[in-house]
Amino acid sequence: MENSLFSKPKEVFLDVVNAKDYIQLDSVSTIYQSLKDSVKKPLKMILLYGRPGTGKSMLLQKLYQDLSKHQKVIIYHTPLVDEKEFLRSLARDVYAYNTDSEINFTRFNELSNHYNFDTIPLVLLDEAQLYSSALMEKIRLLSDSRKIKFVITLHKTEKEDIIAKEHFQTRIWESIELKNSSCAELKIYIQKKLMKANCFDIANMFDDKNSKLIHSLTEGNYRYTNKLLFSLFHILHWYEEHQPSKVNYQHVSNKIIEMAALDSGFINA
Amino acid sequence: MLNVQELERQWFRYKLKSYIPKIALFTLLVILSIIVLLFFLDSNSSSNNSSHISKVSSTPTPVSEEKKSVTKKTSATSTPVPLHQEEAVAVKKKMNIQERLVLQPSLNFINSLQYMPEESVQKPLEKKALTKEALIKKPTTTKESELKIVEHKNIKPVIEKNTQLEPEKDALVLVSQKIAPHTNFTINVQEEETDIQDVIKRFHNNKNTKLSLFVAKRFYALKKYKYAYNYALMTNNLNSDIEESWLIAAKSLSKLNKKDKAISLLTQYIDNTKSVQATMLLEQIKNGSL
Repeated sequence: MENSLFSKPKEVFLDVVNAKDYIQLDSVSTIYQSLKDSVKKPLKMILLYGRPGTGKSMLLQKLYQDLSKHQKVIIYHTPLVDEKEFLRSLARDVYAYNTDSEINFTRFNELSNHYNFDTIPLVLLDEAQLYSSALMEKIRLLSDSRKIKFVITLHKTEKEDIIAKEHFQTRIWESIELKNSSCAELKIYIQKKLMKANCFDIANMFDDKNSKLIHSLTEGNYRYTNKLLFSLFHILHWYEEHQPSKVNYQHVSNKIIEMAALDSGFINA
Repeated sequence: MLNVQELERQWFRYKLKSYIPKIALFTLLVILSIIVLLFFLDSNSSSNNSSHISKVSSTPTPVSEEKKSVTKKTSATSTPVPLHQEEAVAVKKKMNIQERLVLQPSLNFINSLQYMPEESVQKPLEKKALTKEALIKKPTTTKESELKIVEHKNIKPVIEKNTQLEPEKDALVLVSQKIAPHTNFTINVQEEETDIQDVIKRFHNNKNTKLSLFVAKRFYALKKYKYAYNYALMTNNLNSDIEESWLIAAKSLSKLNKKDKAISLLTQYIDNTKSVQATMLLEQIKNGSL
């Protein structure tokens, strides 16, 4: 198993949010730079939105990794749905205030008045569409107080758009939309990701036709692409072990890609 | 758990499904193209067959009879010309059965003439004073037939070129008694007659100016100027904006030695439309160069 040529590439495409796996593409790097610039501005709130799998969480993670060296940055990947729990976590992480007693919104505001930072603490909230409306209102009030700056990510759906309109229309000064990749970008994404893991030979197996097919199957969605390629290398791995004569090491056949798409549920037989 | 065999089967089904619409479309196109091809082949062959049949069977007898009857009248003035009587007799024998069928179109044509303006239609009829019975019964003489042959020889090239001008057979019998029954010639003429009669019938059914204009043009090409004038006039009555019919009417009048009438007609038309073509035609008529 360890000797398999395709076991390592398979692991590369595991759907894990890790800043180390961040792939610099033209469009993504542009967005990331604009996000960094927005954080430096005196904005109360920054909205990062896009369809699932467009790289919001990855970008947030990357931002956290880059900024945490210079300022106070807190990231919450999973939403803290309970308001008191959210405020207590915030007090603990931002102000290092630990208590077993409940912290309500008034108490938190009093607490925040006791702390001063050179740079306003930055709180990154992923999957903000899962927060309740009441809690979102509190977050909005906190950002208005300018004691904490929030960067939130939202899935771009009709429902979340309404939330964004209701709560942040007048408060958010910067909103950045992430989109699915183009065909060319997707090819670069796949190859860069493989090359980052030193799988140069595997990266060269993908040609334009392959990336076009993958793009048509995944619509350029990074999460779907990861899922498809994980399945693809899983299948190739199986062939390598059981029917090595069927494995073409020069290029990936569309048949294997389509089989992976069937396995991943992107197409139905 | 990965089941590659099952995946392969699924992939095969998927490919099959993805090709089905393409295969179906291709098959449909092939079938359609075959149908279209067969249709055209059939239509071509049937048209060839029908024309061949009409040439061989139907036309010669009635024309010969008609021509015989017509030629009788003109026999006195005609000059004798050598006739291929053997050929004529042979063809006549073959076509005896279908004589009646051939005569019918001429009757239809006579009927159709009833719709024509009195001026144009009645005059030729009165002059010739031909009846259906006379057409059938009147025998032909060798002199007549000889005369006919000479005339046909002159006309032949025109008719062969314009096979669509067929209606003339009856028209020829009715209007110009000069044409005589020569077997080779009559075949062509009768074919034209049948076709033009169809056109005339269609015109009287639907009053389509395109048909009447076509008939007028054909009559004019066949030098049947009175009929050409009649149909041009009918076309004008239905639609006065068709310049071609005005021009044919004027040209026909000119050919009928009614230059004054032609000039007045054209002048009126030019006054209304400022037509360049009509002006040029007017000049030609005035110069006598038409």
